[in-house]
Amino acid sequence: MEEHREAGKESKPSSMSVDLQGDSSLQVEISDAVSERDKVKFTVQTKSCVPHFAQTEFSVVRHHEEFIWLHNAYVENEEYAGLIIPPAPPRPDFEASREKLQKLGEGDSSITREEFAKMKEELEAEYLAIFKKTVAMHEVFLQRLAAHPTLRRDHNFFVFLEYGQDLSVRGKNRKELLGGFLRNIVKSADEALITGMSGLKEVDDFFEHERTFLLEYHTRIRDACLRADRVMHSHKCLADDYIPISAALSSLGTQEVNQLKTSFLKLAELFERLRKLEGRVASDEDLKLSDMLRYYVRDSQAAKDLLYRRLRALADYENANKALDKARTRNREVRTAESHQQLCCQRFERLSDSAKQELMDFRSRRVSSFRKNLMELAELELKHAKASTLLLRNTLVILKGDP
Amino acid sequence: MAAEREPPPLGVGKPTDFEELEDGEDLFTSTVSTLESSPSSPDPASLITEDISTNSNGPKPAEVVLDDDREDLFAEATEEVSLDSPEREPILSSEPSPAVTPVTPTTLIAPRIESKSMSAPVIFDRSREEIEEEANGDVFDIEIGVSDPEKVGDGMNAYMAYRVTTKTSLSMFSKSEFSVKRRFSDFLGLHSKLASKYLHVGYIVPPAPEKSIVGMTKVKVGKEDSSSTEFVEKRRAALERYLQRTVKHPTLLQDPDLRQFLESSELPRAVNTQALSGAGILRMVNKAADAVNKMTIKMNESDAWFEEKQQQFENLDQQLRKLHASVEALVCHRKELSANTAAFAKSAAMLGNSEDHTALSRALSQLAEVEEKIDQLHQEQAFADFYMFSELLSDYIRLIAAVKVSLTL
Repeated sequence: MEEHREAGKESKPSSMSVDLQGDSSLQVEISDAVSERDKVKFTVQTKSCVPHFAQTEFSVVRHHEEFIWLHNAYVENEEYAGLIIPPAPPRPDFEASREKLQKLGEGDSSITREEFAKMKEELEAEYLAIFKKTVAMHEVFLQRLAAHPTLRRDHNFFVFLEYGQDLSVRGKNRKELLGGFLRNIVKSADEALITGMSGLKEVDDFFEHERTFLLEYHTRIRDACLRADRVMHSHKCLADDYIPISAALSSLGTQEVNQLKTSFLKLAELFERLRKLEGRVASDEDLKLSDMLRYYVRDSQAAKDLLYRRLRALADYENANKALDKARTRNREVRTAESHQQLCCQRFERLSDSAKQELMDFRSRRVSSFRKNLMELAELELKHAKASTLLLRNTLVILKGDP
Repeated sequence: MAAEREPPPLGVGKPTDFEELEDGEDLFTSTVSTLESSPSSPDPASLITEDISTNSNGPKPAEVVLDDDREDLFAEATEEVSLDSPEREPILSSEPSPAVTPVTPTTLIAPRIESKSMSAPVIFDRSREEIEEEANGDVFDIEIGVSDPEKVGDGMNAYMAYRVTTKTSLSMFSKSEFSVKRRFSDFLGLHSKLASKYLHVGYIVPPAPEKSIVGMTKVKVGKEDSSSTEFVEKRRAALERYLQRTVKHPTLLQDPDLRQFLESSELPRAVNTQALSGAGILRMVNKAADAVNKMTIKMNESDAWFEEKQQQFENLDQQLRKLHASVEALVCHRKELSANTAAFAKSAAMLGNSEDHTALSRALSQLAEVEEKIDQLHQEQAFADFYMFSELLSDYIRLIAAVKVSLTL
C-alpha cells in the first residue's frame, strides 16, 4: 500500500503518469476536458480488469459537482471513518482570469496594438494554465481513490466511473449549504469540547503527538500557502510590467537616430525576453510551490478530520463505559449497555489502527512530494536564473560595445 | 523676486561687453554662417542645450541693447525690445508672451546682432577664446557633490542642510576645493535667479527639484521612518544632479549668482521660495494665468526647424512620460515582491520548525534563508531601478518641460 501511494502521485498534480505499481487493475485518468460557459466537463477514462465492470475500457463525462458528490459519499460512509479521505478537488475558478480578459477588452486607448496583443496572449496563457491545473486536481483525486485498496472498492466509486448517464447530482441548495455550515460549526464545537473534557485522556502517545503536530502544521502550511500565492502574484505583476516598458522603449528607439536608437531597441528586446523569463519563474513557483502547499493544506485538513473522528470514537467509547458502569450499578439494561460498549470499543480500536497506518502514510507521502517538488523548483529556478544572467550580460556587452 | 531686481544687472555691463566683443566678433563667424543657413544643423558645440540656445536666441533680441552704432540695425528690433523691457520685471506674468512676437526668420536680424545678444550675458572678464575652449570640453573641470543631509533646527522651522562640495581647476573660482552648506530653498532661489536671467534669452535652465510640502513636513516633525529617509535621499540625489547639469552649461557656469552659491558661506535667504509666502501665492496665480494664456494664444511657429524640433520634443515628452509611468509601476511591484518574499521566508521557516522529519525540516529552513536573501536582492534591485532609471526619466521629463518653456517664450 505504501508503495502505491509513494509513486509521487499527490506531489505535482500536473505531471501525472501514474504508475500503479504492479496493480494495474484499476487505472483512471482524465483524458479530456471541455470548458463550457459555466461548467467544465471532464472525460473520465477507466482501464480496468476488475470483474465488476462490464468492459475493460470505458469512459464517461462528469462535471465538478459529481466529484463533490463522490467525495461526500465517502465522507459520510461510516466504514471509511478510519481512513484519510482524499480531499475534494477545488471548484474550477476562472473568474479572475475572465475578469482580467474583459477589462483588457474594454481597454485602454493608450495601449498600442502590440502591447494589447501581448497582454492578451499572457492572459490566455494564464487561462490555459488554470484550466490545466483544475483538470490535474480532479485527476489526482480519482487516482488516489483508485490506488487505495479500501476506497477503490466502494460501490459509489464504481457507479461514478461507469454509469453512462448523468448522475443528476444537483449542487447543494441553500438549505443543504446552510445545513452543512451548521454541521461544521457543531463539529468544531464538539472537537473543542472533547479535547477540553477533563476525563478524556489520550491513551496513545503516538496520537497525542500527531494531534499537536497536525494542528500546528495545518495552520502554518496554510499561512505559507497564502504567502506563496502572494509572492507568485507579485512576480506575475512584475513580469507584466515589462510589457509597457518594452513597448515604450521601442517607440523611443524608432524615433532616435544611430547609437541611441540601437541602444533603445536593444533594451526593448531585453525587457521583452526578461518578461518571458520572469513569467516562467512565476508560473514555476506557482506549480511547484504554491500548488503543493495548497494540496497539503487540504490533505492535512483531511488528516485532522480523521483524528477528530477517532477522538469522537474515543469519546463515545468512554461514554459507553460510563453508561455501562451506571447500568451495572443500577442493574438495568446491562446487556444493551454492554453490547453498546463493545461496539464502541471495537470501533475505536479499529479506527485507531487504521488511523495510525494512514497517518504514517500521510507523513511519508508528504515528505516525498515535498522533496520532489522542492528539488524541481530549485532546478528550474537555477535554469531560469542562468538564462537571465546570460541575457543580461550579453545585452550589457552590446550596449557598452557600441562605439 | 524679479520685481525686486531691475532689468538684469547685465544691462549695465552690456555696452562694455559689446565693445570688448568687437574683436571677438569674427570668432563668431562659424556660428554666424550656420545661422544664416538657417534650418540646418546647429553649431556643433559640446552640449546640445547650447546648440538650441544659440539658435533660439536669434529671434529674440530680448536684451536691452542700446548701443549707438547699432541703433539702425536695431531699428526693427527696437520695437520689440521696448515693449519688452518694462515687462521683463515680472517675468512670470503673462504679458511677455504675446508681446514678444517671435521674429523667427533669422534673416531679419543681422547675424552680428544675434551674436552680440547671445554673448551679452555671458562674459565679464573672460575673453572669447577661453569660452570656446571650455565649450570644446577640454578644460572643463568641475565636480560637484551634494552630501550629508543634516537636520538643522527643530519643529516647523527645521530644515535639511546639505553640504555642497566643489572640486575644480577653473581659475574663476578662488580655491580649488571648497564646500558650503545650503538648504533646499537656496537651491530654489538659485534656480529662479538663473531662470529670470536666462530664460528670456532662450537658454534652457535645468529645472530644480520640486518642493514637497508633505515630505518636508514629515522630516521636520522628526519622523524617523523609512519614507522620510527615502525622501531625503531622493532629494539629495536630485539636487546633486541639478547642480551637475547646471554647471555643465558653460554660460550658466559663468554666472556670478552660481558662483556665489557655490562659494560664499553665507547666502541671503531666498525667502520668496517659501511655499506659503505671499510671493509663493502670487507665483501660483501667475502660473495658472500663464497656463490659460498659453492655451488660448497659439503662436505660429513659422520656422520649419523650430516646428520640427517642437514636434520632436512633444513626442519625446509623451514617450518619456509613458516610460516613466511604467517604470514607476515596475518599482512599486518589485517592492511588493520583496515584501511578499520576506513574509514567505518567515512562514517557510516556521513550517520547517514544525516539520518533524529532520531532513525536510532542514530543507525548509534553508528555503527560508534563500528566500530572505532573494528578498534583499529584490529590494536592492528596486532601489537601483528607482534611483537610476525612474529618477533619470523624471529629470529628463522636467528638462523637456524647461525646453518647451524656452521654446515658447
